[in-house]
Amino acid sequence: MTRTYRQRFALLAATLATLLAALALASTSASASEFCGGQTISSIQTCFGASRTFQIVRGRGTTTGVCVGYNEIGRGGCSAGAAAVAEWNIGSAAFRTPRIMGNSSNNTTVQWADAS
Amino acid sequence: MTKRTVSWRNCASSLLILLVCAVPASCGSATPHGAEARSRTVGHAPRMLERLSSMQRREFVLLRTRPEGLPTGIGRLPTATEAGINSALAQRIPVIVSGRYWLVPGIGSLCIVSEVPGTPGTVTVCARTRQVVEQGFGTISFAPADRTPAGMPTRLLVGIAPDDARRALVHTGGSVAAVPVVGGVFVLRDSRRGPSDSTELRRTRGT
Repeated sequence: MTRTYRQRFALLAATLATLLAALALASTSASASEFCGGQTISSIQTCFGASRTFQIVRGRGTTTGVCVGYNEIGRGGCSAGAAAVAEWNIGSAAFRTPRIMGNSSNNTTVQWADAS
Repeated sequence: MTKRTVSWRNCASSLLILLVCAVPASCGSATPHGAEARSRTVGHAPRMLERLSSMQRREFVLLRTRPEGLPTGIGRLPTATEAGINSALAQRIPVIVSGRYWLVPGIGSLCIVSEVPGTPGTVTVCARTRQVVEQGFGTISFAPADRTPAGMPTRLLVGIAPDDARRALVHTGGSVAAVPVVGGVFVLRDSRRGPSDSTELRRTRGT
């Protein structure tokens, strides 16, 4: 009886491990990873995300336009218009540090930003 | 024998659990992206725009001309795709500046897709159609300062406004540039180092 429970436990553990692996793979395939959500940005205050491999960076501020970029390029793509989404498809994937900044000296909040 | 039966049952139940859990999980890897996109971008656009909305047709002369479509070489445009754009309805924005610009309608939204010298790849900006009717919108690019001769423009703003807009007031750090709107398009080239704070429209009647 004890052995049966042990076997069941082992199988359950294996199942969970498989499930977790599948979830990890699934999340990798979704690929877009967020950064700087909820952070305050402005034209003089940039928010950097953690470095990662990506080709496309995009984001949106709640009250002003935004610029998205990477590494030292702060303004790869900029939206002129409140709450418009700015997206930059850089053309090739590489390991970079995504960044987002506001268009205005007034602060805005990053509604969302992601890199994929 | 008993041991085999238990093991088989365990296997079967485990596989069942795996199936029950994995199917929604694998679907979830796609669904949240789309769902997230709907709430994230400029609207709720799970599908592709089939025909222009009455507002898009009524307010933007550019969209009433024969569509040219986006060229096939344009890369992935996740924001525009999530906004439900129909790339066949894209209109080249007629501006005499280097680079290429297209106005692309989506479901309840408009996007500007651009390719600009000095900026690799493609830049896309999207906003709600209603917002564009009220405020206009545009895309801003910057020429690399180290490769731009002194006194030459470094900032280029290409914007879209509704038919009744006559001027766009582009605010940048306390200063205002008044830019004429011609054929629903406005262009500002100057040497400012930063993007514009906001844009206001002056219309045929009132403001």
